[in-house]
Amino acid sequence: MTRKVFALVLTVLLMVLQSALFSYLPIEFSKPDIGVPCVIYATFFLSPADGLITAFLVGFAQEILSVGPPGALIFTKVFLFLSCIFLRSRLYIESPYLFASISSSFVLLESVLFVALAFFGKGEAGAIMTVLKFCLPDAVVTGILALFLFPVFERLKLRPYGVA
Amino acid sequence: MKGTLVVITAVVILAVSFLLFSDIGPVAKRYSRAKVYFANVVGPTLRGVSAPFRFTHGMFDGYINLVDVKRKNGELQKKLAVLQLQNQKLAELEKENERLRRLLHFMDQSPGTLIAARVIGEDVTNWFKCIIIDKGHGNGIREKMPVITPEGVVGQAVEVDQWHTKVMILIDTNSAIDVYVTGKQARGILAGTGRTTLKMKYVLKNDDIETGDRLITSGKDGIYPRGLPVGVVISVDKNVVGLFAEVEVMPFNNFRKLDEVLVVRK
Repeated sequence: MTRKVFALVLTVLLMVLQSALFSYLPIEFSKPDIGVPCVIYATFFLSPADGLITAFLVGFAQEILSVGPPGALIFTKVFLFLSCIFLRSRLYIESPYLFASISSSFVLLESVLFVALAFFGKGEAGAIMTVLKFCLPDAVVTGILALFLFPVFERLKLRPYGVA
Repeated sequence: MKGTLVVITAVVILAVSFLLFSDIGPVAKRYSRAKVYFANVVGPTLRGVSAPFRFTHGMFDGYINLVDVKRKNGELQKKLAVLQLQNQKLAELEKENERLRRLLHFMDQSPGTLIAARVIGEDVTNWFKCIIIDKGHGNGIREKMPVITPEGVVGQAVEVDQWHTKVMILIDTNSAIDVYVTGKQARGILAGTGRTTLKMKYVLKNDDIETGDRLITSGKDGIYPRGLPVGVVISVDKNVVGLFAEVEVMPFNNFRKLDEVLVVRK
């Protein structure tokens, strides 16, 4: 339990760190979404309840650190959680590479989801080009980062014994 | 059973967040209050995390260029690098001094109306463009206050809590400012594109506008006071279908290199 709380605090801290760090780095082409690998790991390897808590917390923390419309980032993260639930019994993640690939795919899915949400929910098309322009680099960088995050999560020994 | 309950909860959260997004019902107000409450917790953390980055930023900025030189020239170059590192620190301090002096001069021109703030973070997503500054409600900042630098307009305060403020910058796709072309009658709406440049909308093809023209705020949008410099026209295309010309504008500020900003008290 303590480890899980620690992991959640770490996730939020990572996002705060990202917000502070990127304002000093001259990188414009990509920003990784650290929350996505966290949601995937929590849902696949911990319990659905842990996955939902992580998804909500990550979405909420990102909304605090963003000027995005209220609810949008929580919506996308909880939708990703539901997608993980759907894939949980169909997909066996055994290597960091597969974990990284899924993280990348989910960043792409999240971008498409946001575009659909903005278009059908508010009828806005202004952000579409921006989102689509950054989705591929964001997915690649998040995938690379997920490669390193997977062993970190494994080292924290969050997984209950016997869960693959 | 437990899994089903979790999925049902997730669907409920999904529905509520969609209502929030669509700005339907009384949920939105309560949510924004909750967000401000939690932002009060995140604010000091962000400020703390940002401090070491700010400290190393100046040194790292110039020092990274020396890595190749160091490899090639061994010990002598290492000594040189140390000296250059110290020099870099001094140069950075001098630059900061100059920047702050200009800010001070700018603030002296309109005493009591400007609040100086440091940039401590930026939007965690690439979809929106905002910076986070280290002054908030407690310092007199309110929503919709314009944020500027001596170079020009940065954006407007969109979310304010006790410790920090989120500033939507000009290049955000939701940003729009009413602007004039300096010394001419042409007027238009300067909209963010999510990229480095801005787009000036609703400029008629027979309006007097050309590359190199400077844009200032008109003061008619109710947010930005009149006469603040915004950017320079870098291209005008009148060979497009429709009534309006396509005008591309480069903002005066480089939003990737903002360290200090001024909030205009209204």
